[in-house]
Amino acid sequence: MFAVIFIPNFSLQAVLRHEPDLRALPVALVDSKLLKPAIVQLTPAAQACGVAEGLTASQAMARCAELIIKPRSPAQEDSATEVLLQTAYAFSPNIESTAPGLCTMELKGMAFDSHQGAIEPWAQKIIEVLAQFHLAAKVGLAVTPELALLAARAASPVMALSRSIKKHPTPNIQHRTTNDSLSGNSLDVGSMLDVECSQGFTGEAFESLPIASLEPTPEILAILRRWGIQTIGAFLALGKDQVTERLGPEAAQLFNRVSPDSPRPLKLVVPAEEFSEQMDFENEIETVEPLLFVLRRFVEQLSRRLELIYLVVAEFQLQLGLSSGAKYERLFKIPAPTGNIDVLFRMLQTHLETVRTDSPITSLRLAAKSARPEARQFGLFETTLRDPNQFAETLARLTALCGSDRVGTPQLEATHRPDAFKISQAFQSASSGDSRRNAGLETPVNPPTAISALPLRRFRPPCPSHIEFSDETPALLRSEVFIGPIIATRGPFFSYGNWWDSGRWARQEWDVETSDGSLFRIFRSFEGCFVEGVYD
Amino acid sequence: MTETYVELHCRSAFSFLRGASTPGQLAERAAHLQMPAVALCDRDGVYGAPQFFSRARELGVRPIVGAELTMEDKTVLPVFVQSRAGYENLCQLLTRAHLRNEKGKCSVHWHELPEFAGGLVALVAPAFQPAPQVIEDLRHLFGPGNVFLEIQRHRVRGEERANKIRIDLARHFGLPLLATNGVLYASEAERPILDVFTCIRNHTHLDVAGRLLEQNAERHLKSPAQMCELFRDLPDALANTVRLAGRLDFTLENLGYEFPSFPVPPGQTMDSFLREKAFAGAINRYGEVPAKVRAQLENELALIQKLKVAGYFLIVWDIVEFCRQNDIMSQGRGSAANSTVCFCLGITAVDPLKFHTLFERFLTEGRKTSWPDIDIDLPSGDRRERVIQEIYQRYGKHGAAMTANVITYRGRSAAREIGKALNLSSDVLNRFSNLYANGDFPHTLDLPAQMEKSGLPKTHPRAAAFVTLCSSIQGLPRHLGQHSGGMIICQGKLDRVVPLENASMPNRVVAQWDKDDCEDLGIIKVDFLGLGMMSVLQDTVKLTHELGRPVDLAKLPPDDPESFALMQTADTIGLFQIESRAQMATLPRMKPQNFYDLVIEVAIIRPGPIQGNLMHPYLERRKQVANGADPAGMPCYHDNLRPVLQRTLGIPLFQEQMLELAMVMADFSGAEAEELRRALSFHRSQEKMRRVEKKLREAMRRKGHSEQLIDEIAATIGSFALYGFPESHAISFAHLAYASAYLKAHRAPEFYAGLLNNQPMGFYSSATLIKDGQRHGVKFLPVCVRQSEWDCTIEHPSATQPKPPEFDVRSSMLEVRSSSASEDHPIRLGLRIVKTLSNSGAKRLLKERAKAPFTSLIDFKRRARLNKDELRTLAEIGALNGFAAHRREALWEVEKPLRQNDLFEVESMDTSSPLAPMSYPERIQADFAGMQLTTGSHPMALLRPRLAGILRAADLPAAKHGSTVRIAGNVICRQRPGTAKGFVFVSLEDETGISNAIVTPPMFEAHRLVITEEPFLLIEGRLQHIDGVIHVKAQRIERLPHNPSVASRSYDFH
Repeated sequence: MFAVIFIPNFSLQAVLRHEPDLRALPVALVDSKLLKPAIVQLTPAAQACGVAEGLTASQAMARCAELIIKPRSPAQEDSATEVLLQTAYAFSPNIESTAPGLCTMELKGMAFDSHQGAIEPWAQKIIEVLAQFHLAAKVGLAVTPELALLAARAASPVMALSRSIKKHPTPNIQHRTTNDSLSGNSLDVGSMLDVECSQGFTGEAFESLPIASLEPTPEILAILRRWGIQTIGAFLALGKDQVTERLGPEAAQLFNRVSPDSPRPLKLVVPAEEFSEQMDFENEIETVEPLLFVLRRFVEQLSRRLELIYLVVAEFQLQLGLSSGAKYERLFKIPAPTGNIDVLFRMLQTHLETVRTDSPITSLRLAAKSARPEARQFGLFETTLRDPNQFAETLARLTALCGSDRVGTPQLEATHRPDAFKISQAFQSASSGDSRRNAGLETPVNPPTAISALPLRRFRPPCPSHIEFSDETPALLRSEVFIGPIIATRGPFFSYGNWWDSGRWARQEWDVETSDGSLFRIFRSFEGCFVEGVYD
Repeated sequence: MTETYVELHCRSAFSFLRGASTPGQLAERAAHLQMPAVALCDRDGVYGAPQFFSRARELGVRPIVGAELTMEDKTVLPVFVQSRAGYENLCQLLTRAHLRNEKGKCSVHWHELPEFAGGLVALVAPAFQPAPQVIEDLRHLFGPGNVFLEIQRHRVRGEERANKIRIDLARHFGLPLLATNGVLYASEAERPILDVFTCIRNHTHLDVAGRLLEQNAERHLKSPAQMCELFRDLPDALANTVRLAGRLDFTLENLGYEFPSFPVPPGQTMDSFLREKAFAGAINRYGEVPAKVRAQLENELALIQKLKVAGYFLIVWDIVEFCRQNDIMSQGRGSAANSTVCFCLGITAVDPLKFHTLFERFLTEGRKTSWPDIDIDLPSGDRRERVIQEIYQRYGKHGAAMTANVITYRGRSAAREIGKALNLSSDVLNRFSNLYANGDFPHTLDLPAQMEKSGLPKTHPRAAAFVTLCSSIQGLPRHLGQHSGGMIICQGKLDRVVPLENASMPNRVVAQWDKDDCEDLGIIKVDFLGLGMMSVLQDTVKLTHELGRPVDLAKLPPDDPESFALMQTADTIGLFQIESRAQMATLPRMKPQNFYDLVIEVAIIRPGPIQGNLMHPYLERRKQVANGADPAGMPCYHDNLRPVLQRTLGIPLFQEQMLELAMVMADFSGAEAEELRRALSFHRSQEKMRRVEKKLREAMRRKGHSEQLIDEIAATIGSFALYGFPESHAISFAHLAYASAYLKAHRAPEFYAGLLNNQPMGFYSSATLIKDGQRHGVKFLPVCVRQSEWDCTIEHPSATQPKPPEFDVRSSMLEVRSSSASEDHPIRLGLRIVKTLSNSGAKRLLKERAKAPFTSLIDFKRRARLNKDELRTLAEIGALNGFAAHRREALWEVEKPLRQNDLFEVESMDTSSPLAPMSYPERIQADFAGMQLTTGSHPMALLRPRLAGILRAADLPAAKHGSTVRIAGNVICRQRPGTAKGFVFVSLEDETGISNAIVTPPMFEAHRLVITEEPFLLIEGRLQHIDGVIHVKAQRIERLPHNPSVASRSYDFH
């Protein structure tokens, strides 16, 4: 006996999992990786507005102005797959990750394998658990994985096929054709199969399942559609030999899928031990409140998932994707592993309230490492702080005091701006992103320094000064390092950049000799005049 | 003033993404800085030289010609031209370097330099750090005093160290230093454009381009004083610029272009030979040559002789002869084509004496730099290509070239590229492209608003830069394309006049200058324009001959009532020039009754007359004349203009009238009229038009005309800068329009077959053409592999098979207009209509069928050897129904594998297909899937029972003016003409015809996506029925739920 958990519209459900309120609204999922980006899944509300799969976003919006377009998110699909597999694993040790949104379970040896009455409540329980994770699932049970899958597709929400399918030797199919085909309505076929099912399931329902449920190859599916074959029943009625002769062994496989005789072996998997949730934000996030809102949901979900297998959180890894392409990462070790949502969330919140990123946040990922809930003994040589939460809070306060651009590691930027650098965040992992589109650019990462015979001793920060100009040439310098006339100059040297946004900068630079024989490098910028250094 | 500095190293935007200003901007800046001369050195070409030459000369700056050569090792060697020989060498060198490479690439081999170094001066640029031996070689190649070491200062720290090395190098080798600023843009303000171009060129964006970008904005054109200040320690480097500029006295004025002479028989001159041919032609045309014609010929021949252009006429005549000998229809147009000589030579079909469009009035000695203009219209496609290849063959690859078409940054494409460079999110850019995919609509939304709707708020830190860049980048060159038909010829030595390069099309060579530049420099071009309608006419005439009811286009009856009836009722789908929605909306008001009415109709629906507000007054006066008013009494700007404007009821509609108007009212000379004509032709140059207008106003003031009259005339002429039509063009086009109307009226089957065989062309899809044909009683038979040829053909009645029941067109839904004569000649759709059928597959099919008819589907599959996709499509559209009971049976059988080696296979099908036949709607859907058309019912006919209260197109004439009506249909055309102030016109097709809706700008903005994206619409609005023109002014627009796969292609926002 096999069970299949089927999550309809899996990609869409994965995206809406953390925004369940949207389920009742017209929402459409666009796959931008397609050659011509189009809608691939949609909510019933969107369907009711006339939106259909295959439309472009613009076409869909033409039909429904309120339509919310969401991009497909592989990251969120991965999270949802984890949830699905981990949930299934909590119910059976033999599970297969069949496809996105599909998990097949072998029920051999389980208590109800010989007691049919218990099977439906068991399946219902799976659905309930997944509902806690905001995934609406259906479960099908049958003697082969393929039949279970078909049952799952037809279920509402549970269906068990208790015995095998019998085929009627029907030589021909009489289609009921109507003008509706131009409006996209499918064709019905007569009853072909005799199946005994739970919950009043009838053969007609099974045979009227769309032919796509058998998952033929796109080429075979196109041929079958040209033939006018819309349903499984109509397909089976064509006869295996006839179809196989024309469409080859792949078509024969389709017939085998509905055969109760040869269950295929499952490719068993064990769910990953890492638990993560992630989300790509449609709109960039610039304040902490919406981030905390989502983060709270993540903590809840992860805690529940661990609770399902009697574990608690030992470590969080927080990752923020930034619009600049860079990533902000932070590891939180939990000194006393816990499943307490409030404790876990507060720790993240304290940290995030002090974080300043140089560009808006575009994605969020929170991964948890699990541990058993018992108390833990520190290792002798372990340098871990006894109270990491406290330490994190200390660092966060330090950042708040000094500014996020002053705590971390400086990195030179590839620009003409002298000394341009950025601070990478303290404790940031090495995987910070490089957003260059063209890795092959012949741009030096570090700006070349003008070779000079004299070493320049830099003032850090540059020394603010007052410079008097005569005919745009520096004539008098007043600063902490020197006050007096300038007797010779070289320059100016001009540079300006980032004219395209608020980061615009400009600089005029001179080398000057002062009346005491010193040589200084001075410059003028939007911020004023400065002495940058002295030549030794 | 003493000359102190001349800038000798400027790149313009014609260096394609390596310079940020137009040549004109550089010339203007140089003039502003009082620089006596400037050299333009674009990368690998002289693309911008003509524009630079003409603008600089106007401003009193001496334009020096140069170019940067990309060498085979990627170093760049700037060179200047000091003599015509040098210019010819440069052109030949560039031609060779381009022609050996694919389009857009150029590499000069070092070993080629010796051959072409004569007359050139080389510059060792800062980026080039040659080995000592290379410097010696260069000096040896170019000669003493012809190699300079360039030195630049851009106020960048560290550059002096490199300069010091160069100064030492110059001293060591005794080379003169040359100070330049390596100019990349005219003024500092254009530096951002260059940065954006750098990003585009390197496929990156500003945030990561880093040191690829300019460090500062110092590479602009600086004044001599600024440069003297910068190089005050190197006075020689400055003085050398003046000295060298003095030596570089070559200008494009001295191109040495000569049009090839025409080989004439011994004892003849070109003039005598032309005379002989012209008079021989006159006898052919008129029989006995009337005195009036003879006199006109004498006049014209004398003028042609005086201007020494007989060779040009003979060469064009020769090309037209080639067309005639090779069964290629041709028709001449253009200013010189208004001549009786051209008419007699057979170049044109228009007798200018009939229409008073005499050419010598404008072909005067004033046209010193501009040659007479003859365009030749040819059937588009292969036939036109044959003519072009013949020209290449006759004049050699280095003797003939297509003129260039400089593609410039415009509208949406510019915005998208800038958006990418600014690193705006791809979502915003995609949304922008989607929302404004059909053009820019500044009428209702400016660019910031468009971007805001696309997701880029006006407060975005980059929004301001985006908007500024979008406007400043407009019109800058993006890349070089080829003109659709303009060719320049110079017997065997065109590559000495202008560099040539490969076009992206195989076997095409393109010059580096566009047609306006060529015209400016006195290079004669001949336009070989491909017209789809010429192909249609030629094919249609051929079909009429095959059917035994031939039509001779040269002898069409004038003023054929049935042809004009089609026009008067706007039944003009498929007709040349008068099938657009705007034409259809005018025809019932204009009610053309003779050929000249048609000429006016062709000319009046142009942006020029529409924008000049000339169309409505003309139609109004026409109405008055129809009601008995005296045409001679119509208001005219001035009594002196009556002879000029009388034939158009006092309204100037043609370019020729504009010129005459200027001659009469402002005493413009022939040369000034020519200047005006060129300004009218230069649609893009507002500046040129402003200058001529100023001259015109001053001249009219001098003649004492009132300011009001001056304003009126200036405004009228100004509007013609927007695509006004010359009368001769209108006459030529009207000829084609009349011929197409005649054929539609009298040879409908042949005409529709011709149209279908030349798609895509015109305003309507094949699906719409077929429906129009059916409404005219033409019968269309489906594609059949046993009957169809590649092209659509006319079947002899006896050959027509009884139609299969599934193709029973619901004729009750169609209003059949025409006689049964058309039904007697049904059109069999050709294999070319089938979307997935390859050319080679179709050829094989036809070849096998010619050997022996196919006896069965198995026989067909075996012999035609089509792939599965082709077989499936043929089965799906019913083309295999000759072998099967229905389409699905054929679909079932085509999947059955062939047993290739079984010689004894029984050639009969198992007819027990388990598949049900397709329903009627399914067949329609299959037709659209396989052919994008159907010979069956219009998709709307199937919906009709559910469309209660919705009027069909055919019902609209009976509806009351002002009443509220609902129409629905497949959108076949969406238009938003620039002249319509943001109004949008939507054409809906249903089973009875086409209905038109007008959408106001606010309504369009409110329903933009529904209108632009939905293939079927339901529109409710007020019916406007005025003078036989019917429109629905939309008040409510919504989607009509229908299967989009049965929609025809829509002709949108062209």
